[in-house]
Amino acid sequence: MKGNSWNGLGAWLLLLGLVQLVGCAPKKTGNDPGVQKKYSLYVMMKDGTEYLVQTDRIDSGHIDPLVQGAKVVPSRIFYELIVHQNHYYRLDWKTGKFLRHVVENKAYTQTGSLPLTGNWAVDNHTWLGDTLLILGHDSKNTKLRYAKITLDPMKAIEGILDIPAPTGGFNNMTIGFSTFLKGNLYLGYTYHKIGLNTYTTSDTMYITELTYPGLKTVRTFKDTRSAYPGGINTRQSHSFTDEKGDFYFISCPGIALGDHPSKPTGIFRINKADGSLDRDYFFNLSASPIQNHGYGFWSIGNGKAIVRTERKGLFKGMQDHYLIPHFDFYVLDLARQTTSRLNLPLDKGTARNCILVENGLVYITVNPNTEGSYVWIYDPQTGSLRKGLHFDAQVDYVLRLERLNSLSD
Amino acid sequence: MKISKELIEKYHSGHCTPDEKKAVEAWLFDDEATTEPTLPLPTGESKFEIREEMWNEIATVLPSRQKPAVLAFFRPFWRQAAAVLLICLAGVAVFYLKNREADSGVIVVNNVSDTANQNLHESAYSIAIGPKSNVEINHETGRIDFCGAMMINPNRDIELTIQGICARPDEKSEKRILKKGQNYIALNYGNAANPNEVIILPQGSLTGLPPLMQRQLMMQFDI
Repeated sequence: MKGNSWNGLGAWLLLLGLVQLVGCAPKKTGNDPGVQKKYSLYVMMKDGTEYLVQTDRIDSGHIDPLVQGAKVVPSRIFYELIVHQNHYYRLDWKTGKFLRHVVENKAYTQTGSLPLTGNWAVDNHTWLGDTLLILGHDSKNTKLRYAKITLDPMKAIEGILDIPAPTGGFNNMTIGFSTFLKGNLYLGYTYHKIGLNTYTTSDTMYITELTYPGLKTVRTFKDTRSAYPGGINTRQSHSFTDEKGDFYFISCPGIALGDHPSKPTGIFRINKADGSLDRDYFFNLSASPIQNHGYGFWSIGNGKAIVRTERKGLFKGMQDHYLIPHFDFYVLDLARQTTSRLNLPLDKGTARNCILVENGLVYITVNPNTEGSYVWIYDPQTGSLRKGLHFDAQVDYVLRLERLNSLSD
Repeated sequence: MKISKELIEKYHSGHCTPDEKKAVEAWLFDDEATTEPTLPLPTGESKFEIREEMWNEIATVLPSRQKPAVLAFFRPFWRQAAAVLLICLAGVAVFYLKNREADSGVIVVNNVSDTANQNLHESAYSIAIGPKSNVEINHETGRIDFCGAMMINPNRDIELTIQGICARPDEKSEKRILKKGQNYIALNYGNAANPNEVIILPQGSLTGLPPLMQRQLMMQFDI
């Protein structure tokens, strides 16, 4: 019996030691499953390689993607990602497969694949609860396709939208925004003429309200005050619903999206009250002190938004539009229609998912050529701007900044 | 027997004796070069005048010949001038074409297909020429004139002048270095703001273009 009790004590001591050993083990990093980081950053290095870096802090510190990141293969998918609950989703338009990836042990790893019908890329996506709705034009089959995807497990309900196909010399189309308003789906779209080396956009914007889930057309608004409503929202934000429930979107007729530059860049509104496009509201940014075309458009709350605008004269054309630092950030007051330039270095990259708003602060990634790449922190209450997270000098573009998940802080 | 003028005349008039006839015929049919001096010309007569006289006599018995039709065609002076001009032009054209094709290494490719690329493999690079696009490559000057879209894949680092010629062929373009192993897309981009912007982008930078253009080029050149 004595021996047995000593054996029992030994076992307890051993167990205690093991527990202590586990307790002293280094903490798991964010690349391990189970311990999730808060933010995801997608960067391109000066040698053209791309990395995803996950981190808990963006308000200070230093990031070296070669040390902390996971190399992204295949490359050049940064404009296609949808980040949701620690996963990266995208429709591979070459194969027609909807893919799911995670970053695990510093590797970008595929964890799911769902074949979809047709030959299309995602123009726009929106969420209805946990269901992801993706939409895009299948130009090969001249069909506007959608897929409603539930994610765990990945399943899709696919269909075709009853929106008029391109006609009259137009041979392609783009959905620039998709949003739900009082239970109905609103799509903003336009038509294009595209050849192997030519491209332009119709002078008319279309907004169609559809029932949901029936997807029957209720009404369509046409507008010619600008061209190309919204933009592909896996690239960056071009629209939002404000605290009052009104929906705002930017039009992008500049050369980098609509290529109908004789029209002004402007902000439009769909009123929650009657669900119609507000014919009296048009914030003409090209006629404002900005005097240029713009693309990305983010809400920062309290009736204010940030727009990222190009600066003509600093770039020659599409040859160097992505390469030259020429972008400004302006704060817009949507009701008063006033603009205020943020005192940031001129930024480069034609489209970047570069703004995140959390707890009243606005985090803006800026990647100029010479002054260092940082997450800048803008406080709309005080108007202050300060530098946060610093990126290694080998980082050329910070292409995406987003929350990895909706966990509380 | 000495052959004299008188003897020859006697032979022609048929008054020779058999011996004289034999001697004259032996002289006539003897092909061997003779060292004997030629018959002296009658005093005071010119060798050239005699020859002229002889040819005139011969001409009277020869059948008369008309001038050839070809010569008749070229009788008006303007036709002769035109012929000379034509020959000169043909010569210049042949020289020019030979020069273009062989000597200075100029290659012209016009891809008339509506959908398919046309591939061209050179020692320094490969080119996929897009549908309805054309290129003219000058190896000596390192200049590529093109209209449309093409993808260039250099086998080594090369310096090229890539000139878009769709709308403004005289517009000056700078030399640029294309890196080995990279794919470059060259595009005569007809956009609304600029109908003939020449864009040369490494394939990794196509994401800078409007999304539809990017996807269209990636599909066409299988990037």
